[in-house]
This record gives sequence, structure tokens and C-alpha cells, in this order.
Amino acid sequence: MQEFNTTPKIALVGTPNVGKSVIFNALTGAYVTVSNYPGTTVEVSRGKARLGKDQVEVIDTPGMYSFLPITAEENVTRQLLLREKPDLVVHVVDGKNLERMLPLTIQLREAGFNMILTINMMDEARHFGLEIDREALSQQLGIPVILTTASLGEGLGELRTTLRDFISSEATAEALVQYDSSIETAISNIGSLLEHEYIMAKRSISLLLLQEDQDIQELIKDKEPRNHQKILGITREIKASFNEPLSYAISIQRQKRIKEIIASSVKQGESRPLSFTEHLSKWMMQPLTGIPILLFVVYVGLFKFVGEFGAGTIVDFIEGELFEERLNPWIDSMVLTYIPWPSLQQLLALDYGIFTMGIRYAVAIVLPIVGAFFLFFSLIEDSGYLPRLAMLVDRLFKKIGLSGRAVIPMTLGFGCGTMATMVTRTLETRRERIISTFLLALAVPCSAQLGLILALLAGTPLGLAIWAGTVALVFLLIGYLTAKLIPGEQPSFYMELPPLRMPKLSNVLYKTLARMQWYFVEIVPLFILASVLIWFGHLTGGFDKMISLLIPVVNWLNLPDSTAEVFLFGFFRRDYGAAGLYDLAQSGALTGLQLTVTAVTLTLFVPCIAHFIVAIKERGWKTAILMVLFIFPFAFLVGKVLSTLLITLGINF
Amino acid sequence: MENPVALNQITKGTRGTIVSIYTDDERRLRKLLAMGIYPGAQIELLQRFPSFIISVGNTQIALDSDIAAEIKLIPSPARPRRRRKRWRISFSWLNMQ
Ligand SMILES: Nc1nc2c(ncn2[C@@H]2O[C@H](COP(=O)(O)OP(=O)(O)O)[C@@H](O)[C@H]2O)c(=O)[nH]1
Repeated sequence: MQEFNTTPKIALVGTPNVGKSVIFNALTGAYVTVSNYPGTTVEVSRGKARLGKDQVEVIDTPGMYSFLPITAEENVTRQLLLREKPDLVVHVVDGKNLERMLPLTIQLREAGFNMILTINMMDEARHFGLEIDREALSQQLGIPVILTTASLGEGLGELRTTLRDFISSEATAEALVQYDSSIETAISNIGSLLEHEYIMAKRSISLLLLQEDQDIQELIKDKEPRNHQKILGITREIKASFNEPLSYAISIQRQKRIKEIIASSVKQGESRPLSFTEHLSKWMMQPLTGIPILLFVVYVGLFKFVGEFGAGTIVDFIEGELFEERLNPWIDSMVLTYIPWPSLQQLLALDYGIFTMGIRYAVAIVLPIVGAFFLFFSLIEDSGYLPRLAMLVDRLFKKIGLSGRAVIPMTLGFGCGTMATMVTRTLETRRERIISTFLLALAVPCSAQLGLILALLAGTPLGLAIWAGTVALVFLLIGYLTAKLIPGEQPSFYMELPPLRMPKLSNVLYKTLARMQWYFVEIVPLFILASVLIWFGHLTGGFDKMISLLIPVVNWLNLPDSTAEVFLFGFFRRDYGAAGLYDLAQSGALTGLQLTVTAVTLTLFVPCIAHFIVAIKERGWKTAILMVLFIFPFAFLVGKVLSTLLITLGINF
Repeated sequence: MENPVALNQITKGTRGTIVSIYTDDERRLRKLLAMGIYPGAQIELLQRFPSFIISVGNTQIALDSDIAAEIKLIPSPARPRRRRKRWRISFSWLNMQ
């Protein structure tokens, strides 16, 4: 028990994208646990680090812009700081943007944490010609200042030494800013009314109360039964004497002080001429050059790499050479030799067995494709392309009720709709979250589907074009109609565009593997479950009955009976259905037109079980069921219309 | 001194100092402040379409036109030389290829 209490804690705090994770990984190495913060869906990573002979716990907190929280992430970080009382807070900032990073340093100092400031991305700061006088800055702020370039490992040794030296220092609060006199008076008046002992300095609590921080208001109500009303009175009074929100006035005064601090500790030298990446960044963001670049990225990334390489070369190898030729015949013969009961034989092997179908699909078909996609996604994520894509599509996305920000879950949806649906959380309005969840379920094919469909239709370019055109049309049209139908405000769009960077291989591999691992843990059980359900369906005859019910529906789309089975598999997993289609196409049972219609219907068709479960979790039962009730008939309807249209027009292939 | 104009009313390449942000959404205001968009900040408008892009300090930020309309600034006197210089840089890069 005692050991528990004495392991010192270090919390890394800072805005998103300043290099916290890179520093965290460098400090902790292996044995990292990522878990949701209790009662929230925000993830917090924890790991152990060695400093000299002591072991410490390091916590990588969710991104925080301001100590006055707006987002769920900021709320979690503040709660974490207040509840877990880390022995040392490391504020990580971006060296090229000190002016806008220091407000949080000041707020943390006001609150009174034992802290150090780590100025990261010094390589980029130097590129912009910034010279930071760390001694001067350290004096002004009253805390140690370390300069690092985490991605190159620069300064991390010194960071460790400093952590070791300061981890047991006393926490001190310091008022680095004198606000205007009416605010200062209110701060001291509130301060003198506070009777409880808080973790945060009283000055910080008073400031947060003046800015109408709801959590702190609740806290005060609880802890200051006597003076609660008086405190609220002071807040009301001063609020009335300002025209703008107090949070605005306070941040502007703080910002003024930061200007002074920076003027005395940072020199702005000559910045270097625009580098190649800065030109590239410009080209990516202007439509005339940006759209061709986007098409190029999609072609190389999705079509060539995920489609041809992942779904073609790798799948052919693992599925064809390994499973079909070696593993499956061996498993079949083992099972037939050693297991006397036919029904158990079928559960484990043969056409629908756990090993021969479930695991084969999961490992040989789906995993290579999803892995290729995750590698591609991690690459563009780490390079900084996604924010540029977001600004490029914002105008178009506004038409379907989304903001450019939604491009991130939407792109991820081309990998795995289940994961993407979880990411829709990061969107700001409920309306945006509903629309994106719906579109992900309807018209964004996941990479397993996409890879297989690209591989299947590669031989018929016309089919591929029709498929892509139909799905894109459905996406935009249904998006547009949904946006009209669902009430709510237009989303707003503002996003920082970090510099383009050469992706860091270790970072990319780490993210890819983490995503693949998540996928593997999520899907393999479901694939096995699906095999068992199908086996059970066969055994009881229920499966055949469902197929016979589906046959008229597929015939209605002018498709042969054998596709009914594919759609049924689609219930269990979308990609599973696509994999069934792959088997069917291999046997040559479908014409180009039929393949195209099946591909379109299957793409639009209900999401897989995992996707559906996550949609329920994120958006609630009612919304999820409504979506499925729409999607199910709609997918077949589009299939019917497409099939009829093509036949009527005499397009046959 | 010139009068304040909204960010969506100025031409690409204009620099200026932000004087005010008018918005009825306090959360949005606080987010903008946290991104370095506050009265007194020096900015340059880099692009208008499809989204507005401004540079603040050493960072670029993309905004939609609704938000751009809420940010008022006083343009600094034009500095015509800068533009030519930028072209020269990009050509010199092309020559290097
Ligand atoms: N140029 C440069 N890039 C860095 C540095 N530190 C981190 N990065 C990159 O910045 C990006 C964001 O880093 P990350 O650790 O994920 O940021 P977090 O959101 O704060 O955890 C990644 O692409 C890193 O590789 C640095 O010192 N210099």
C-alpha cells in the first residue's frame, strides 16, 4: 500500500500537438496503459519512468489550451491535476508560438503547481529566427525552463535531470500578472471570504470564479456554505461594470504581460526563406493545386497502396499461398481425421469453420488491408496533411451540415467505420456528430470493403467508375438532405495548421501498430462469433431459411441467388460480406454489371455488428435504430434503381 | 489611423492589428483567444478561398468566413516590396530543381 502512495507523479500538460506524446514515449518506454478517465470518454496514458534510482509515474494529459476549460479534454486535464495532485507539472509548449502558449504557464503558476516549462520544437523556432534567453525567461516566470527538440531527442537528457532535481520541490503560487485594479480588488475580496483549504491557490480560484467557471462555482457552493452568496454577489457586481465578458478582459491583460515577458527574453532574428515544405503547404491549400494533390494522395494511398498492394499482393500471398494451399487443407484433414462428429467438424473447419473461414477472413483478408490503410493514415496524420485537407473541404462539407473538422473521422472511416464513429466525438455540435455517424454508416466503405471492391472491380474500370460515382452521389445527396432535415446551427470552422513535417518513422509505426492491435482485439472475437452464428444457422436450418428469404430481394435487383449469402454475411460484418463477394467473384458467378450492383448495395448496406454497437454507444439506441431502419431498405432501393437504369440504358458488361 | 475593417473584407496579403472580436458565442471567443487571435495581435491574411488563412505569430490558422466576419482589424500601411520578394524566392526554388 505504502509504495502506492509514495510513487511520485509527473503530469505532462500542454495544448495538442506540442510534442507531449513524443516526450512521454521517450520518458516511459514500454508498459504504457491507456484508459478512459473515470466517467468520461477521454483517454489518458500513464507510464513508468526511471529517474536515477527512483521510479516515477508519468501521465500524458489530454490537450489543454486554457486553465478555464471549454472542451471535455480540458476538463479532464484540470480534474486530473486537482484530484491526483502530481508532484511535478511539466508544461510542454511549442517554441515558435510562445506568445500564445505562455498564458497557460501563467495560469498554472497562479494555481500554484510545482512546475517546469519545457519549450519544445526548438528546431522550428530556430528556423523562424527565434532566440530564447532561457535564463531571463526562467527568472521572469520563477520556474526552470528547458529547451528541447523532442523528435530528435535534443534536450531530453537535461529534461530528465531537471525532473529529478525538482520533483520534490515545494509548490509555490505566484501572481505573475497584475490585473486592472477593479479585478484585483475583487480577487482579494473573494480570497478573504474563502475559508476552506483548496489545492489551488485562492487567487486562482477567485479568478476562475470571476470568469464564471461552472465546476468551481459548484465547488464553492459545496465548501463555502457561509460565504457562497457573498462571493456570487462580488462576481455579479464586477461583471456589471465591464462591457465584455470578464474572461476576455482577463485574457487580454494577461496577454499584455506576456508581451512584456517575451520582449525581455526572446529575440526575433531574421527568419529563413520559405522552405520547400512551406511551398508545398501553400500548394496543398489552394484549390487549383490542392485538388490535384488530393487526387494524387487518394490514388497512390488508397488505390495503389491499400487497393493494389494490400488487398492484392498481400492478400493473394497470405490468403492464397498460406491459407488455401497449406493451412486450410491441413486443418480440414486434421479435423476430419480426429473429430468424429460432423457438426463439430463444421464448427471448426470446412466451409464455414472458425479456423477455415473466421480466422482466415480476419487474418488473411481483412487484417492486411486494414493494416495497409492504417499505415497510410498514420503517415498523412503525422505529416500534418489532415488540417490542410480540412480547410480545403470545409466549404463543401458545410453543404452537408459538417465542418472541415469532420474530414478526420470521415477519412478514418475509409479504414474502419467503427473506429471513425468513436472519433466523431471530437466534433463540436451534436448535429455534426449525428450527421457524420449516419454518413459513416451509410456511404463510407471501410478499408476491408474498399480494398476488396477495388480489387474486384479493377478489371472493369466502368464498373469501378459507376460504383464510385453512385456512392459519392449518395454521400452528398443524403448528406445534404439530412442537413436540411436535422435542426441546429451551422457548425463553425477554425483550425490551426501546424507546419508540414517529414513523418517520423517510429511515430508512424507506433500509431499503425496501436491501431492494428485495437482492430485485431476488436474484430477477431467478432469473426469467431460470426462463424459460430453461421454454423449455428446451418445446423438449425435458420441460415438457409434467411437465405431463401433474401433470394427474392436479390433477384429483384437482377442478381443471382448466390449473392443472397453474401448479403447475409454482410449482416455479421460489412467486410465479411465483401470477403464473401470476393469468393463468389473468384468462382466467376457474376457479370460485371451484377458485381457493380452488388458492390454498391453492399457498400451502402447496414454497418457491421461492431460499427452498429459503437453507434448505439455514441449516439444512443433511438438514433442508431432509426439509421439502420433507413439504411436497410435504402441500400436495396439504390441497388434496384442502379440495376434497372443500367439495363434500360443497355449498359452491359 | 484607418478605420477597423472585418477580416473578410480585406484583400489577400494585407497585414494588420486585431482590434476586436465580436461574437455571441463565448466558447468560440475563448478558443480564438487561446489560438492567439486577440486584440493587439498582428496578423496577415494569406488566403481567402476556400477558407480564410491567417498567420498569427509563427502559426497559420484556417477560419471560415463567418468567423472571419467577426474579427475586426486595422490594416497597416501596405508594404509592396514583400510580394515581389516572395515571388523571387519561389522562382529561385524552381531554378534549383
Ligand atoms: N519539428 C519537430 N516536430 C516535433 C517535435 N516534437 C514533436 N514533434 C512532432 O509534432 C507532432 C505532434 O507531436 P505529439 O507528441 O503527437 O503531440 P501531442 O499532441 O502534444 O502529444 C508529431 O508529428 C511529432 O513527431 C520537435 O521537437 N520538433
